[in-house]
Order: sequence, then structure tokens, then C-alpha cells
Amino acid sequence: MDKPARRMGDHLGIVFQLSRADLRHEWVLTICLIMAVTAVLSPLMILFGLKFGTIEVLRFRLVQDPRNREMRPLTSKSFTKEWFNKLRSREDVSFIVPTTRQISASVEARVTGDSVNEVQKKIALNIIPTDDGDRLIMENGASIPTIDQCVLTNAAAEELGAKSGDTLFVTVKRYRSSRYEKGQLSLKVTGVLSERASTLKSIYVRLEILEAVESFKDGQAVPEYGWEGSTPKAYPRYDGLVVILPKKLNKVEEFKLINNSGFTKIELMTTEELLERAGYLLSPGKTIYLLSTKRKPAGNENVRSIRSRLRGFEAILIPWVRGLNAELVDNSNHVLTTLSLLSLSIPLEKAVAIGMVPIPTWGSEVDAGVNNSDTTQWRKIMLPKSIKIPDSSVQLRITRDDDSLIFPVQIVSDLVPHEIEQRNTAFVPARLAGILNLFKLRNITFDNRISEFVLSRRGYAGFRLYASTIDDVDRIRQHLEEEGIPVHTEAERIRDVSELDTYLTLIFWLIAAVGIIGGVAALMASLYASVERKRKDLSILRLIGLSGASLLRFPIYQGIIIAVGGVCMAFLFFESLAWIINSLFSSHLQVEESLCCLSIWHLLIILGTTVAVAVLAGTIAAWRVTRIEPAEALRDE
Amino acid sequence: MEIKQKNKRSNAALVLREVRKSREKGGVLFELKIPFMSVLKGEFLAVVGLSGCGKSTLLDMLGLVLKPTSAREFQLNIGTEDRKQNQIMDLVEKDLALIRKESIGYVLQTGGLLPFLSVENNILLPCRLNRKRDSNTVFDLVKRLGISDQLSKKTQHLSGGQRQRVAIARALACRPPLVLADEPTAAVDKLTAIEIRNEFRELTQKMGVTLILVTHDLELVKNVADRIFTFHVEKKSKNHTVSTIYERKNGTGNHR
Repeated sequence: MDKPARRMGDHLGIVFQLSRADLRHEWVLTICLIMAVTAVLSPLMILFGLKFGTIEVLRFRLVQDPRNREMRPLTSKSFTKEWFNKLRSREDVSFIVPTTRQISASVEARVTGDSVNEVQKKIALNIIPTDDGDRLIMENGASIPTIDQCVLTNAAAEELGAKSGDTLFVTVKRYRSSRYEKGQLSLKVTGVLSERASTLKSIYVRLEILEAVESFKDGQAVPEYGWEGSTPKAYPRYDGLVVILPKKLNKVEEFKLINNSGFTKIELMTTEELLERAGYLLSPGKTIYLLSTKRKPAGNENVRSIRSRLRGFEAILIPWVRGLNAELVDNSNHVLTTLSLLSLSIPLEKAVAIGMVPIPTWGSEVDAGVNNSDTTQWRKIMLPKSIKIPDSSVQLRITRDDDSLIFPVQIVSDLVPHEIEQRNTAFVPARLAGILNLFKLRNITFDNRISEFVLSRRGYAGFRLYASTIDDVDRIRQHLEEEGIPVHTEAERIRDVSELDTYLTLIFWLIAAVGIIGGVAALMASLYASVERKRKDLSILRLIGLSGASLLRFPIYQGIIIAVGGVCMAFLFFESLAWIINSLFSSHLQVEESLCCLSIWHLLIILGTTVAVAVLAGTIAAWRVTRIEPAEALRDE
Repeated sequence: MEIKQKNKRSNAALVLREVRKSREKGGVLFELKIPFMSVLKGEFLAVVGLSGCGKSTLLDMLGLVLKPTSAREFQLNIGTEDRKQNQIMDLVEKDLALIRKESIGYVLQTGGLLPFLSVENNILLPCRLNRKRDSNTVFDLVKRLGISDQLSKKTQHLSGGQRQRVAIARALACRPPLVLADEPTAAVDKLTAIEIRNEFRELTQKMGVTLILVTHDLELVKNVADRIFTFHVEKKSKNHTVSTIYERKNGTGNHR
């Protein structure tokens, strides 16, 4: 530090000591000023403490209770796995699990008795899915159950007389073929939720159990639990139907084909156009129509409808699908070739009669019963001549997004002539093409045990979602509503607390503004008056060598000392009063809750603001100090 | 003669030549003229005059809190540096404050003590401002002035005489080369005034400090001060008064 700067520093120390000595000398006045600051600050601190404490209690309760972060859809919709994955990747989503249809989410349960003769009470329970990270389970005194475990709500446990460690005997009922059927399973109770989690009688289990319950109630078999039932077989869906006739139809007859038949468009085609669209050739002289659908694909029932409408017209019908991209793979899943699949089914003699090239070896299975489960009859493929597969044990794989359907297929011919081969075009029976076409819309698996194409579940009817924080609830709600999914949330309650916070803050600041203005004015007037009163003393200090720049800190330091004293006093008042308030309302408060409280940051902000205000008030008085001439000391004597 | 004049000049603590200060108050112009005034180092110079003759104006200028309207020479030869008239005239408040702090002690009519400080802290304040602490000097001063028992007291608990003694102690505590005293005995009885004057004179003489004492009481300084200056007041018109300072013959002339 250079000499003048050090001297200034020394002077500042002296000025501080002088201002402190002056305050001590006039201690009565100083106490009055400190009390004046206290009188301004204390009510403001109490008011803010109450506002902050109340809001914090409400927020604490909102935050503490996971139910306030729960969101449930108000309408039933089919939510896909992709949709769930997308939502799960959002940072504001803490947990999400799919739910099944509400109607399928009920079971009966009873605790397994110790002795055979002991009769336990059986009650109906809502069955709710859970998964790892379920806040409701984790924050209410239980742990996430595994596939053979369950968690009960308090109401359910009380009604059942169940406790953690008990085994629950769960019964699922369905009504099928004019009789009731039961599916049963045993689950170990791993926890009972605290009372606040839910007032309903519910059982929380893994989603797989819920899916099994829903499948069983839908009449399906659930082999995992030994529950018998049907298998949801895949069914063919076509994009259109090729109609081959000996002569052209009139307009009325054409219209009849698209009137309530499931097909919406009729096109007259040439053999060249047929080759281009369907991939096969016919001898000339035939009338060819392509019936197609706009949105909903057609099924066998639609094909049968057209057949009946064209009775007597000697029509040949061949279901049509738009090109399906597929791969031929070996048993090690190595891709042998990629193909574009086309649909072709026609009885041999008819194919010969119309000069069809190529002629399929599998005939026409369209009219065969849909219940014909011998898929080996139509899991066949005709390959073009250019593709040579040495091993006939191959599989066909078709892919959609991140899902794929793979199944064994029999190569029946690799002699599709060159003249009709278009970019690796292969032919499959219409029924297989229809099922592969359905795969565009529905999840399908090939069950090797029963050699059957089985429909996987379409989607989930709903979900249980927890936002990461209560502040995220409204944002997620908006996002879901933009997607057309109205949801039930506690957003309104959260918004109420936020609005209450806003209004209380506004009221607080209105009162605080008046208080602060009054406080500043009082402090400023006091410090200014103090300077006026000490004019002679200050001029003496100027005379004996204190510069005006050093001396102007005199009232500023005094202001700071008074402000700090005022804050300390106000804090003592606040703490005492807050203790009384919190004691009075203790019966309504939980542990860790305070109705009137301030954080350390608030206290620091209050201290900082008060000191800043004191500096401002002192600065006005300091301006007066700079006007005091040292000559006044001599003249006033 | 020239050498004597040169020695005299180098020994002067203060030289004022053709200094003039005009002040207007209530439409009345007051003019103070100092044709020549020099104060030697260690000299006891008394300035005697009645109310309104310009004593305070002179003291303000000597105390560097008021600048003259014009001056041929205003040489302050105290401290480590010579400060000539032009420098004094050109100095800013910050520099003047520094000279006041380092080189001039003040004894005011009623002491000019700070009520919120103890006697001890009042005495030590100039030393603290100058970062000087000569404990022996201070101890010797308070002992000689008979205020050793009063150090911890607040100034309002002192008598008038004690207060002036404390003021003298404060003015001399850090051994300034020049002390200005403005009616230091005006508020005390005659006997105490003489006591204080004698103690003041002895201390400044012993410490080699130049003392300029302004008083209305000629008797107090007659035959004690080395030289005495007084005022000749001339009323030029109803609204114009001119006061000229000149040297009287009642001084001891010890420093001449």
C-alpha cells in the first residue's frame, strides 16, 4: 500500500472509531435509532416469515406427498411402448408405468391361512401396476415388489388382515362361454403403504401380472400361470383385391363392388399395369379390376363379400398387398437376401386358364377357414430365378421401426421367370402376405410351440406418471394435453399454492415498501440531524486535519452500525415471536414444519438490504458533512 | 545588515507581506490589511484587538482555513518544507488539511474538545492522525498541566480551566512547529487565565514551538509576549471598514 492510501486507510479506521465512540457517547439516542430500525424490520420479518413459512409448509406437504406429482389420463387410449419410451426419456418425468383397462384391473384376494381349516376373508382389490422407481411405493414405506410379490395399501391390508411377509392368494375371474372361469396365483406381501398413499383397497404388482390378468379376462390363455384360454391369432389384412373377369362390368355393377364392401376404389387395369402393381402376368383378353381401400385394410370377410356379389360372373379374386420389404435369413440370423414380397393365390386350373405367369404351387387358401391353424400350408415363398438359396431351412424376417417378425418359411420354387421379376420380387400366399401386411399395424409374434402367428397386445389403456418435482406437473400436463390426452393432476392445487405465494409476496412488498420508505426517511433524518448537531465537532475534526473525504464516512459508518444493531434486535424479536407462533400452531404442524420461519439466506438479504439502505441514508447526511468548513470551528468559538 | 535580514528571514516561521482580505457581510465591506508581519520560530506572538477588528479573519488565514484575497508574500516556514505564498494560495484543501494536521496545533476559546472522546483520546487524536506517538511528551505534558487524573474522564466533566489545559495538551501532543490559540483564557477567571498563560508559555518555550495567541485582553500578554500586534480600525464610510495590523511596543522583544 502506498503512503497516501495507507494514511487514508488509517483515517478510515479512526473515523470508524470516532463514529462508534460518538454513538456510544449518545447511547440513549443510539438505542432510539436502533429501536426505530427494529420497529420497521420486526413486523416485516414476522410478515415475511409467516408468508414464507406458510408457503413452505404447503409446498413441503405438496412435495412430500408423491400423490401430488401423480398424473393419470382421464380418457382411455392405446398408448404404445414407443410412446412410453419417449415420455420416460423426459427429464421432468420421474416415473411412468403403463396401466391396463380399468375394467380388467380388479381381482379378489385373501391371505393364505396357517391351517387348512382357517377361513380368511376374501376381498376385491384394484390391481395397480408398479415398477422400479415408483415414487408412491418408495416414499410410503415399502419397496418395489418383484414378479412374485405385491404391496398393499393400508386400507387393503387392514381389510385383509395382511402384513408384510404374508402370502396372498389372488383370484382372477372371467365369464366365458356361458360359465365363470378362475385364474389363481400366489403373491408375497412385501410391504404395506402408509395411510396417506391411498384410501383405496389396492394391490400393487409388476406390470407383467397386470397384463396376465387382462389377457385372462379377455379370454386368453396365460401359460406362465397355467391359465387356460384362447390364443389371439393374427389375421390377414389386404390393401386391395385383384378381380379378373371375362368381360367388363357396367357402371352399376362396378359401383356395387365398392358399395359397403370394405373397398372404396375401383380401377380398371391393363395386363401391363397389373404386372407393375401386382407382379404377375396374364394372357390378354381379360378384364382386370383392382379394388382398393383408402384407410382401413380389408379382411377375408371383405373378399367373401365381393365373391358373393360377383357370383355368376366367373370372377377370379386375388388379394393384393402393396410391396412388403423382407429379408431371408438363415438359422444364425445372417441375411441371405432382401426381397419385395407380393401376394399371389389362385387355384392351379384357373391360373392355367387365364395364362398366369408365374403359377403358384400352393393354390388358393383364401376360402379356407380362418381357424385353419396349419400355417405350414401357407408359410411358403416363390423366389426369382436370380436368387439361389442352397439350404431350404430359412426364415423370413420383416421389420417395422424397432420391432421385427421372424418365422420359418418354405421355399417352394425358385423359378419365377425373369420376364416378371422386378427388383428381387418374390411371391407368397395371399394369407401370409395379409398377415405380414397386418404387422404394419399390429405387433405380431410367431409362436414356434404352436406354429401360429399370434397377436401381441395392442398398447396400454392408460398410465401412472410421476413428475420429477411439483413444478414439473403443469408442464407435463400441458404437453399431454397438446397430444390430446387430458390428465388428472394436482396441478390446480399446486397452482393455488403458487398463486397464494405470488399474492402474499405482493402484499408483503406493498407493506414492506411503505415500511422501508418510512425506515429510510427516519434513518436519513436522524443521521442528517445528527450531522447538524455535531457540526461543531466535525468542523474541529476538519480543522485538526481530517479531510472531507475521510470525514464523510462518519455518518455512513454510524448508519451501518445502527442498521446492524437494528437487524440484530429485529432478529431477536422475530425469533421470539416466531417461536410463540410456531408453538401456538404446533398441533397443526408436522415435524420439520414451521409456520413462521426464515432461511439463513433471507436473514443475509435482510441484513444486506438494511445496510444498503443505511449507507444510502448515511450518504445523504455525508453530503452535508462535505459542506462543513474547518473555519467553522474557529469562528463558532 | 543584509546578512542579519537574511538570517532573520530564514528563522521566520511565518512571513506575511502586503496581505489583504476582504469580506462582505450584510452589505458592509470589511477589509483586513497586513502590511508586514513575521513570526520567528519559537516566538510568542500576541495579537490583541477588540471585537470586530479582524482577529478571527487573521486567525482563519494563519490557520490555513481561509485564503487571503491578495498577498505579496505568505510564507509559511514550518515543518520540513518551505511553503511560500504562491504555494499557499495555490494549495488545494487536501494539502492545506495535511499542513494543518502535521504542522499546526489549535487551542480554541472553550477548548474545542470532542465531547464523545475521553480526555486521553482527545489529547492523542492529532498524534493518531499523524501516526506519531511520543508517550514521553504526552506524559510530560499532562503531568505539567496537572491533568494526569483527568485522562479517563469525558470532557464535559471538566472545569473550564481543565478543559483549556487539555486543549493545550492536545495542541502540543505531537510537537507541531506552530500553535494558534484563539482567546484560550476567555472562559476562565483571571487567576486561572494567568496560570494557563504561564503554563502555555513555558511549554511552548521549552518545546521550541511558535505560539500565536489571539486575545482581547492586553493585560494578559503585556510584558509576557515577545511581540504584540494590534489593529488600527478606520471607518472609511458607513459601509466600509478597514482594519490594519501593526506592532505595539509592549512586547518583551526577546526574539528581536
